[in-house]
Amino acid sequence: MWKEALTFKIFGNNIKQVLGASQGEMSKRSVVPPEWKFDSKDPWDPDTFMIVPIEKSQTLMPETASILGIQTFLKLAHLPCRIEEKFNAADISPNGKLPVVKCGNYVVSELDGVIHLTQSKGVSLSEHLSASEKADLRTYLSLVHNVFGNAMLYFCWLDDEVYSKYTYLRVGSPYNFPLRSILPWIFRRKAKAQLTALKWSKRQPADVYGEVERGLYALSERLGEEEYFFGSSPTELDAIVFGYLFTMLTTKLPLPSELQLVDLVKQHKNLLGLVQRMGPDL
Amino acid sequence: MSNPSYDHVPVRVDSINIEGLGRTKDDYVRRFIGDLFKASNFSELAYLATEVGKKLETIGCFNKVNVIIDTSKSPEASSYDYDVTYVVNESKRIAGGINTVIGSNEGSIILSSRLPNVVGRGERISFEHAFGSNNKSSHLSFAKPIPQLSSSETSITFYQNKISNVQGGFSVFSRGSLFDFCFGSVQRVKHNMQWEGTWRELEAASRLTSFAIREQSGHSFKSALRHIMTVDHRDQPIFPNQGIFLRLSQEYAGAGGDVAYLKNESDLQVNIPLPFELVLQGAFRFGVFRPLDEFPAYNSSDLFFLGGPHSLRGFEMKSLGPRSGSEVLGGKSYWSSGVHLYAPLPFAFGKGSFGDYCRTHLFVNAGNITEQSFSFQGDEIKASLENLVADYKAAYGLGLAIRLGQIARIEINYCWPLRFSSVDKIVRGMQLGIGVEFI
Repeated sequence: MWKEALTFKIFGNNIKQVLGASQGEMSKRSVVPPEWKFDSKDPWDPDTFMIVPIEKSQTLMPETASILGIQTFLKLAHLPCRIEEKFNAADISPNGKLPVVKCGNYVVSELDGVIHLTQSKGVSLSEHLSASEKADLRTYLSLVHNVFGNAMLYFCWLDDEVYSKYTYLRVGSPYNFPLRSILPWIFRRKAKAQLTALKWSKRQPADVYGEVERGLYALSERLGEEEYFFGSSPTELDAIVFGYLFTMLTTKLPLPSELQLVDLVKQHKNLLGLVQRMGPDL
Repeated sequence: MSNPSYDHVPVRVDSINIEGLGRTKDDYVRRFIGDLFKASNFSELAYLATEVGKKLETIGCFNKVNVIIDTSKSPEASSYDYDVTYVVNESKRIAGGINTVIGSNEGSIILSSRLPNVVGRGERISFEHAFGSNNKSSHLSFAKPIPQLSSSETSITFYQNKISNVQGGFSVFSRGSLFDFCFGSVQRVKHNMQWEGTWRELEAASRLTSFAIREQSGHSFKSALRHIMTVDHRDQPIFPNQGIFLRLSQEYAGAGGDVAYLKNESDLQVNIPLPFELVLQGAFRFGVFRPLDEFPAYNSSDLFFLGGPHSLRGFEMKSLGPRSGSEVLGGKSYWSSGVHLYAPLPFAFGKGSFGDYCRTHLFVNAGNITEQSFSFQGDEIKASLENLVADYKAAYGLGLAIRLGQIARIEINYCWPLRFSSVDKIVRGMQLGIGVEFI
């Protein structure tokens, strides 16, 4: 175990990070069950890049969170990855999800794809964990993704105020008339369908807010007084949680004050401590 | 002016009757028959009566037009007063059909329906829906003739289609509308002025599609103005015996929307009749694509593809030009040319029947496509030309061509590639081509 100070650029915010990372051998038991066969003999391509939407004008809150989480994960794993902004990042993605990582000939997206890719290269942040801890890790990852990710989607797309003042403007920004107005509407329909399938669309904003509150509480309980979720070195979960929490702390949606997510995060001192440990410039 | 003896028979047209008019508006038909009153002698009257009859058949209202010329029955009529009666058969309100079409890489079923002469002045609405194995399309169009101008028409079409480009590794889903104003001018010159607005969505064909294509995925709106000039002096469009054909098309994309480019294409064909029913045909095509934005505001579907029986025989379909992995990216300038010697089937085989639908031909064709656009400025023109001529591809061969109506043709050729590079996908041997436009 060793620590190192790193400076890197996350979406224009320079965050000096003190990170701990564990370097491991190839782990057969992975966080994500293998789906694709990657050629593990190929080393990590030094020209790997992450394709993200235009950060200043286009990315939405849930996208920022998952991009930041994955960026943090790659940084913790010491895998070089530069950022490339493209307005059609979501269209480039094989499954429409963000962010997209291109490493050599492989194009993967989302956390699952990225974790799987890095494991095939013999890099994992959680290979030292026991089987039950790995199961825990998986549970918490899906909790974070389902609760925080969906809550952010909910506020961005289903709240009329947020949609008209934030989502609509940002999604349409790279296009000219008429796609500037058509595409947000199309994407809103897709997001609504997705949230309906997950039974989120009937919920009231206060319920969703409460859901986030409970999620944060669960995370805070899990973290306790520890440095990281699983002992003294960060794992995938720390990276992803950092992505969500940092985004909640820094992004202010045009929501009424009783629905601001930032206040929820601030209630948990240990979670704030985690964010501060991972990004001391905050 | 058939019989000179009728030239001296004086004529005055007393009245023109049209029998069988239903929904067709009187004022619309009246525009076409006025000329008849100018007839001063009988042979002129007979000539004009048939001309007007022919015209009435083309205005999109009638199936059949018969003409009857008779002496006037009115009581005050003099001996040289005549009545002209047209007996017309209006087309049905609705027509439709189901067709199957076999294209170059798929088969499809087309459902179509047409509402001719819908309001009574030659307007028509047509709807077509095609299901294919890879592609599907539908379009709805409304066309209206402009009687004040000869052979002119305005139309608006709404369409939606999905076209897959197998060689390029992508498919494009587009929906849009096309306004077209078409008019004829002197010497069989036809102009089309068009505006097209299309919302395109490009999608990579698979997970393994090369990144150069994948990164073009997504939505764009193209707003393009187009002018197409066609000069057609050929005696028939497929297997012409003589005459020239020239088409110049200019497209400017960038009148709004997300796409900005300029695209010019020219197409020239010259047919020279030779003894023994031989026809020598020379054809040349040239295309230039110029992006108008530093940021690449276009995608592969806007570019040119070369190769295959329609553009360069002896090479695989759309296989030439810059590529990335196994995908063809499309080029920004190209030329292709061909010289054919067409002959009827040997020993006058099938003459007067199916033989008239077939031609044998010997051909040599050459062409090239490059990634760079063509520059017409001063010194650069030479470099651009050299770039286009260097490493040109060529092939020769012989084959049989069969025409399907006056629209499409099928070719079966045996090709010998003559000039090619090691990376080109050549076809040495049989090559089959089905389509409308061939070089």
